[in-house]
Amino acid sequence: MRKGQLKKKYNRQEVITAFLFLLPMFSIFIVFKYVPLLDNIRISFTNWNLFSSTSKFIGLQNYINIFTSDMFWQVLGNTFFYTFWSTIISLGLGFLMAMALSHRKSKGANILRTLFFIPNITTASAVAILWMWIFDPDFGLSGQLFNLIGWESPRWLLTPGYAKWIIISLSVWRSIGYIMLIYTSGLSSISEEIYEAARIDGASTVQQVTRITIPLLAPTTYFLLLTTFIQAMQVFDIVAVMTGGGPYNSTNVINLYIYQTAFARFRAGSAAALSVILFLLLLMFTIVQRKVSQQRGKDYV
Amino acid sequence: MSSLMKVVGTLFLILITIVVVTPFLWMVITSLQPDSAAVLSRPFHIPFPPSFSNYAKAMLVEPFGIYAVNSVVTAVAATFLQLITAILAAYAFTYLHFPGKNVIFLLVLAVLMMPTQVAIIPLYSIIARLGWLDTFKALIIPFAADAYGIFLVKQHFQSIPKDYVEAAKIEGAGHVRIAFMIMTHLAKPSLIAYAIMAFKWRWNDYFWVLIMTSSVNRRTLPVGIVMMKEVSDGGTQWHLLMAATLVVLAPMIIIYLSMQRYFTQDYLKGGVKG
Amino acid sequence: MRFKKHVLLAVLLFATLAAISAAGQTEAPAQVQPTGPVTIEVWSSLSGSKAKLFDAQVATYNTAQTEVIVKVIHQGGYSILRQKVAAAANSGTMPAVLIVDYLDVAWYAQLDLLQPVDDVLPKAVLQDYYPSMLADLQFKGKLYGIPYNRSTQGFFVNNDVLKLAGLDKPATTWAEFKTASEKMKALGKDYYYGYAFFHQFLFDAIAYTWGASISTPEGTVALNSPELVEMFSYFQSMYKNGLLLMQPVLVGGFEEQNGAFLEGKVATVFQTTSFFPTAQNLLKGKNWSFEFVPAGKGGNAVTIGGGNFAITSKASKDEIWAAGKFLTYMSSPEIVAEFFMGTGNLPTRKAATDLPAVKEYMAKNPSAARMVAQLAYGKPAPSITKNIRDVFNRVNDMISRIILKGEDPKTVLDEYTRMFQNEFNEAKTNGEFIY
Repeated sequence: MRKGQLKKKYNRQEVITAFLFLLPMFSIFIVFKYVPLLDNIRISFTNWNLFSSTSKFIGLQNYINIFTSDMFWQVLGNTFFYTFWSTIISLGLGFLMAMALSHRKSKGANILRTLFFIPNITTASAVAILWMWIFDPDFGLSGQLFNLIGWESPRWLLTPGYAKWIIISLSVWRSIGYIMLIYTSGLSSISEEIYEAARIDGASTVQQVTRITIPLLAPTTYFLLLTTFIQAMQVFDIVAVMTGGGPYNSTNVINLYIYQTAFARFRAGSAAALSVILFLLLLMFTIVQRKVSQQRGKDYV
Repeated sequence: MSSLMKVVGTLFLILITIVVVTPFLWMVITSLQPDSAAVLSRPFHIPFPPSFSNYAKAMLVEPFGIYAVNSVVTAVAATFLQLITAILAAYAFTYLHFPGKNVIFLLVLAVLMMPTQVAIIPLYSIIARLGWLDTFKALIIPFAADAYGIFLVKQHFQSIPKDYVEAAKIEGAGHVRIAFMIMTHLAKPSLIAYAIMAFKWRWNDYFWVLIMTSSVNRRTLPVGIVMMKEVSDGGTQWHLLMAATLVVLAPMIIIYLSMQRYFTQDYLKGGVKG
Repeated sequence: MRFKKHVLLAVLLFATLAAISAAGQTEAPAQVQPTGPVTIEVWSSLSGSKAKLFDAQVATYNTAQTEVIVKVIHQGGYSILRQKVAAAANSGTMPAVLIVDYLDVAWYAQLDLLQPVDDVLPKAVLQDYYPSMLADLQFKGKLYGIPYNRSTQGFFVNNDVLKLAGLDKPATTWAEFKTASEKMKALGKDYYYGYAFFHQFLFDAIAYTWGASISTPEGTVALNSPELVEMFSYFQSMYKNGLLLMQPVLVGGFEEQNGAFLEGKVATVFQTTSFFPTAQNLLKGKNWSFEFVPAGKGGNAVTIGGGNFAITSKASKDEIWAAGKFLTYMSSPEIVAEFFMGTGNLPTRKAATDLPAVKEYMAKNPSAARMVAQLAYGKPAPSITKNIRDVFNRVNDMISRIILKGEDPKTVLDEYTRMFQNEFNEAKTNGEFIY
């Protein structure tokens, strides 16, 4: 409010209209967003089993059980492992792809840009099934290729060490097109003159990239790092379909663990507690993202 | 750029192209194999002549017709409702004066931090007690409003010069009329981009549909294709499964290829959900 | 005078009541018959040919009388049925009758989803069921399920392959199993005596034969008992030495896992009796047989899994009446015998086994007779199986880690014992433990 200005009087008609206009949105949000979030906290303090209409208040018992169980830490570790690697690799490849295609305006380049984005719009559960077939050690693409060189293909999804990476590979495959796109937009906003000046000063291509491109793209990178990270923390479809968390829970991630706890073990109270923990983790990372992008002086959302 | 860099760049692009294209190729090739025996053989059996009949056969293994209809109905309905709620809300935030506007908008932004999965248990409880489990209602109504969409549409409304709205008001048009007739026309590109995004999210949803439905009659394509994989006793028939997978993936790809700019235009505005 | 009249009335009343309740001891209490036909919905977890046979039996019942109309909905499997029951419990839309897996009966009873069926069938009929089949269907002294499609563990043998190795009869003890495996191995790298699709259901029975208790009914987990360490060491070394063929336990049908046995490379396979019809079809002409699970320190033992009819707690009076009539039909010896001979599931009551047609069938099929004879060694499921809802996946993991991955048995068993014991203790504290 500017100093000295009278407080605006609200037109009653307008306020009522505004209320009616916002009503549909709020009805949905109240029933399906705000209330459930709060109810989730309540359920996390009970021993609800998804069936009974009654449940007992058990205080922090669920949380204590979770933090003292090996399984939770294993799942959390898996989640961070997957999130970290798929983020880093996607960003790296996406950046290189944007670089390789920058300054290329040919028809071919446009076709490639279009093509590279296709994995991003695919249905995750369907592609997960395709991935299982590709990596089938007997007759899938992996099996056939290994057979060609006379070896036996590793049993990818049945080996704890490898299964994680197969899942990461699918995640990377689906993300790089989008990352490339964002970096492309970021690259196009760097003016050519800066590079000109550097070239005149005798900078090599590599130096141009490391001293100019990457630093100037830092806001984009921070944005992508954190949004991709937050996205990846919530992975479910591809893990549920490809491995179900196995082998030996080596690919069990937190969303899948929540699902199993609620719908396979019928420990809904415990699952709610896990959800609260996940929510707090995501909240923490979101706040970090906002702080960082504010510091950088540009707001990307 | 030095020519060495150019060569490296080109090689890299070729590599990425192979990586992106090969899975699709493998899927198509498998889908054209004549039978299971041909699929499960080493060395690789080349499917000639290609068995296009697999596509028809695959559609009969599971009732994909039902799944497709369900996918279309739920995605279209939810998208339509989201557009309406988004236009109404964005209009209110942009052109109407009411107390607490900023606080209320913050409440909307707060929803961005409440992904469905985080509250799935109380959501299950609510849907179950409403009797909505295994119904279209459960697949549409909770998605009738989306915070990100409201934010996007509001951004776009704010970028439209206020003159248009002023002129319409002088002519005596009511808010509803302005909102839908005029704004829709002026903000068309961003609304289309949002609609496509919303459609994609609903179409590709697996988690929610998996939990909220259990009958064949309410399944959508993402769940249906997984059912086809899991219920195959006597060994998976990959040639049929790959044909079905292609059919499931095709619609979104076709939509993307024909309306590309609506996909990418929005991303450039900074940030999107998966 | 008046006083005497009152006393007389009271005595008469009392006598009448006593007479009525006495009558109720020998037959199901007479219930008021509703006017008009009553429809009841039955949710089943059956699929494939079993579902078809069930449908046929229901159709016969529906056409044979007009008082009860039975509507069957096949939900597609155990886990989907569980989900649907959870959904129905929340929205209050439960059907009248469910086919409940033996593991879930006591649990659903605890959740107040079922009502006791002690009075639904005459006592004589209930006592005719094989006791080992009723063992797991009790909760707090009442019965909550009537067995229908039950199955047990078994040892399928291809006697032709046995002969190749110079063995004239299948192993009946674990010691013999080992020596037979060694003899078989002498034939070559591709030949195995035994093939284990060694999952949780088989584990229960095999562990019992080794004398292990797995976990006590009072709720003490004994997975790391010396007997189990011994058992796992035995299987682990057999696998390491290439004497035992074993696949990783994956989600999937049984058919996929039995390839080697059906192809004649492997002499025996551990399976459930639902494999019986598949064996009959695919091993026609071969000399195969069904044998007891080998015995060990604990003698012979099996557990009995499968589905059971249950009546839901919120069923109306009419529905309970109709369900009673339907279940009387389904429990008749002829129906039970038909299901047994058509699907390879076990006969659930002795009267069925005693029918002339069945006796003839068993005389012609000694394997079927042996399958029934093994019931004498039926034991209740361990408390772990009854209390841990996702026991299948977790015990499978445990087995895979020890046998396939080769981890130290005692260490892994200690880990799982700790884990399950914690969960048991928590359940006991919350009053949720099923004893």
